[in-house]
Amino acid sequence: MTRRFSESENHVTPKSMFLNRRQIMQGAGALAMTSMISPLVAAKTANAPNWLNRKINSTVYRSVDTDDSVTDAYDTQRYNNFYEFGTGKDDPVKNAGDFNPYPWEISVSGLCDKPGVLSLEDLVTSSQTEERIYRLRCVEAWSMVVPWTGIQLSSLLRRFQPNSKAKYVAFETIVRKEEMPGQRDRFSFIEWPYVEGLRMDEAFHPLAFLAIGMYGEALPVQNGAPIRLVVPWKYGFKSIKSIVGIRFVDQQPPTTWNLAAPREYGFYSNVNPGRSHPRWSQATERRFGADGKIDRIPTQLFNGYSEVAGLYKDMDLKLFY
Amino acid sequence: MKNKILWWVVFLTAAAPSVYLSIMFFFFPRLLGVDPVEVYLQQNGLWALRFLLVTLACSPLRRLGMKTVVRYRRMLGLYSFFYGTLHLTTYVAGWIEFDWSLFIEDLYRRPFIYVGMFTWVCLFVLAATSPRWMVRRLRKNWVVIHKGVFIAVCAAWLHLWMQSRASAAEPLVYLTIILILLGERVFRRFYKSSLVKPRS
Repeated sequence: MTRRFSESENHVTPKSMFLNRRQIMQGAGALAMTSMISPLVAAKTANAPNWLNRKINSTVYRSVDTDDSVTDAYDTQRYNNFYEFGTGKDDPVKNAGDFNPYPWEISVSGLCDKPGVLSLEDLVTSSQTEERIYRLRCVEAWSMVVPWTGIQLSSLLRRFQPNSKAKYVAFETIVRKEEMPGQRDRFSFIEWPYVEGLRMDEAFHPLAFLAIGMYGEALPVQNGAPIRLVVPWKYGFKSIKSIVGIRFVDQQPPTTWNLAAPREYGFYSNVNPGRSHPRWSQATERRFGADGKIDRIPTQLFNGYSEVAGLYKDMDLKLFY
Repeated sequence: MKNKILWWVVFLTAAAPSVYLSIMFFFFPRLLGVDPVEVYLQQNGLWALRFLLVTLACSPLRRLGMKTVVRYRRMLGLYSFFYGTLHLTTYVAGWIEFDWSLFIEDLYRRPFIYVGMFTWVCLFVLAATSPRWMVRRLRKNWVVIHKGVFIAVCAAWLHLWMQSRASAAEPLVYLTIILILLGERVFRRFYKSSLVKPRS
């Protein structure tokens, strides 16, 4: 069975390749070491229900592709910023085990004609899913290339019929202090829940995506299970994880990192090599490749997605960072 | 004889983190982490700070009765410089990959980078003036110069603090230790000295 029909098959890591941890297994010595630190190595994929696995497995349509090599899934699942599970890069994979994302519901409210609560199962079974390979650029100046499975954000939003007063969409991550150790950190600079937002026209841009899977499998907890936003032209923190709430509003909604450090993180946070950040030069990025190698490469405006430029044509991007 | 053995124990224990990290980094990088350069960079930096704290703990420990520790103070201080130098080298060679334009931009745009550089310069001066003949030659100036260790530890902590952006938990642990170590000295100087008359 051919799952994918894209021409650029050679850029994509086949499932059998990214499922075995090949690089680190080379050499008997490395093998012995691996067994010693196996708790760190084993990435837990949440026990996804059948309806979800079936949907992801039957997704054959790849609507967005790239010439960049896809990042090794081993890296993508073990190098995460998901502060609900801790601030270290490997904290999310280590602490993901306590979190059970199923069953899941998303509540949609605000300035729309059909507010309501939608179960993930209803959303997934009633949607046409597709695969998109996107570059993901973190504000910390590293980047990955990830094959996501999911649906276009606009197709979810349309179901709730936002009215003309709605100017922004606000998103909210779940709060479960007993399952998310980062939310119990007393010295956290971040307030929970994690909140994010998009302008209406950004949210309805065809590139804005909701992912339920990656690398042909259900999303692992550390990557935002069971459903997360993916906005590839913005810094990674805009792509909010484990979404439970969506609200249509008429004012620019508060966003977590902007609240924590307004001088550093703006509402828009479009990838922009011309706007230097107080902590990281944004001119270049460290790209995680297909083989575990990391290369420093130049960063592109809008992360290379120039088709979104029209959204910001009358704006000074250095002022509205 | 016993001293010699103890010297080696201290020497090898202090070297152990760098031996472990370097073996992992050069031979099993993927086991160190998904981004081995980042882990190697951060861990060497943390060990530089930790050794600075251990060095500062020597004289209070002596006053508590552990007389021998002060004999290893210079070695422990030099280890802090050693880890700090590994940290700086990793930043230049592994992190920015000798991209000097990035280095210059970091130096004037990013406060945590120049605070880190300043810390390394402090450690360098302390290390360069640490041999016995330097102590003899610099005499009273040596004592003044080596007060610089207090500036170094504050700068090292500031360098860590400036990089924390999600949680203050880790830097606050180090701050507590620093405040205890410096507080003990302040207490002795301004409180105890008024009770006990100086000997000369």
